Amino acid sequence: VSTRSAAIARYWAAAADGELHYEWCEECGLAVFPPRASCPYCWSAAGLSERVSAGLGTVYSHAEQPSGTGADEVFLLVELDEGYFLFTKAASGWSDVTIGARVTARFVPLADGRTGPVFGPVGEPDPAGRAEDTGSRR
Amino acid sequence: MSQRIGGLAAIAGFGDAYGSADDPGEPLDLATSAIRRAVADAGISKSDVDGLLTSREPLGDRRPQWQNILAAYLKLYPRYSTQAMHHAAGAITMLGMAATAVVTGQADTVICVQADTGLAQMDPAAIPDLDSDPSFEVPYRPGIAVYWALQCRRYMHERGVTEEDFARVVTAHQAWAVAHPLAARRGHGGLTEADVLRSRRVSGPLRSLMCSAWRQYGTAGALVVTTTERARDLTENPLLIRGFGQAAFNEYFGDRMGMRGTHPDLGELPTLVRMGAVTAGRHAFAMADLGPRDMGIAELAVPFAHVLPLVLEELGFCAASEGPAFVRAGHTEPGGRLPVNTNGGWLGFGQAGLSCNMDTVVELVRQLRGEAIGLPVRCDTGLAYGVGGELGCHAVAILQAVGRSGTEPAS
Repeated sequence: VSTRSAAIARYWAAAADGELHYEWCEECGLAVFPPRASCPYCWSAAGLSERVSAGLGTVYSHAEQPSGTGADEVFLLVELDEGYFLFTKAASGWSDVTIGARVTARFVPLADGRTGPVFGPVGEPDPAGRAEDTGSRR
Repeated sequence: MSQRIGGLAAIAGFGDAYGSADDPGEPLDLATSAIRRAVADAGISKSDVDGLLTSREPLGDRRPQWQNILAAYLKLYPRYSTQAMHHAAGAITMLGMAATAVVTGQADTVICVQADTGLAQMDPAAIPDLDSDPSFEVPYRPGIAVYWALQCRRYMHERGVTEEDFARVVTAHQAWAVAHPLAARRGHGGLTEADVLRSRRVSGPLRSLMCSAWRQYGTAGALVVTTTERARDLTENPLLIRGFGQAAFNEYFGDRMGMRGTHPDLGELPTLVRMGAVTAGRHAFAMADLGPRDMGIAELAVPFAHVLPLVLEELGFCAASEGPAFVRAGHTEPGGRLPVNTNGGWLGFGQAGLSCNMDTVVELVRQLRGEAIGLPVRCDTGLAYGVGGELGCHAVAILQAVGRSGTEPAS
């Protein structure tokens, strides 16, 4: 999937507006992610449509990475309820992450400046509000 | 079809080269040294070489079409030449390509070579981007270990394995590394599980001693591949390429989580725990008409400690879920039932960029020829497994020493 594709541009434009977009293939009855012009499973272009995710999911796995400047960053693999997976991060301030935890999307500025989804526990107020994500690398 | 090529091609010579403090090693120059030694070892001359394969361009010299850059650098004019782009696993994949080329007459003598610079000399911040999805992973800035830590934690969750199990994998590697003069972690001496569990956290459950050592200086390996018939004329020690296989499931980590449908080898999808060595191994064993119990030695890509038990299980060296117990029983250590990673592997010998999978093959070749640098293992048949990318690419090669007048393998 080219970094310049229109489908990817629409994903990040939606994220900037606080919406999580994914695609759905009518032919396969499957969620498709990352977004693209045709279904990767059946290769149909006509059957693919863009949908808005409820942003609710379950932690499939998680991995902390020491940031060197304070609290660990926590990377997540989240299985969205619509049936696709996102590589993402835990909302800043959430440290007691477990596999199977129910999570909901929040939209914050990412390390490269763009706004994108991170996930926090369902039913709890965002501990850090829309705090800047200052991710650093190993 | 695939069964017919197993054993028809052989390695007639090899060479390896290592950077040092005086000469850290540009990939082109390390590759040159390894090729020169391989050609001399096979008793051929430069003009006999009409094929050249490399894997992915080195991290230390990322120019595309690196194999053509190398050919021009050496003033080689191959009629058969390309790069095996299978992430770093291509260093093993290309053995099968070379075998196919010589058996089908596309070339008579193919050099397979891979070289790279010491990872410790590189800017770590520049490395992750190569293997991360630029649109959906890079914006979050993960370090490369994060992907493997996500796998590791999921493995612990699904199978109940523990950090102690992973620490044991490290000590099993270190038992070989302490006896290998070129091992990056030789200086650590005999590590205990407690030492490993005390080492710095890198990501998730992974601690620094559970991650492959980054070598200070570069490495290179080169193999001369020709027909078995010709190899027997050239050398006392031909190594038959009995079988090879490969599998690729994803480029980016996120792609893997989009796997659907039927991959019987991998079970329920998506999966982080079943990697794909199983598929590459199944193809290679079928071609070789051999099984895991016929292997006297195994040189396996283990970039992070938790990968060893998974790969042992997938290649059939032990039953599913028995990997941690197999390691804990000492079977992979010196004197064990299945010596594994006899130079210390990536955890002990360490990783110099993308030549790591070639280092694995070189160690297998050295052992089968009775030319080990570290502890020797007496056996005539062994397996090399390579991994590349973030769990995505898998390659297996099975080699067998037969001697000049050795008997033909059963077919």
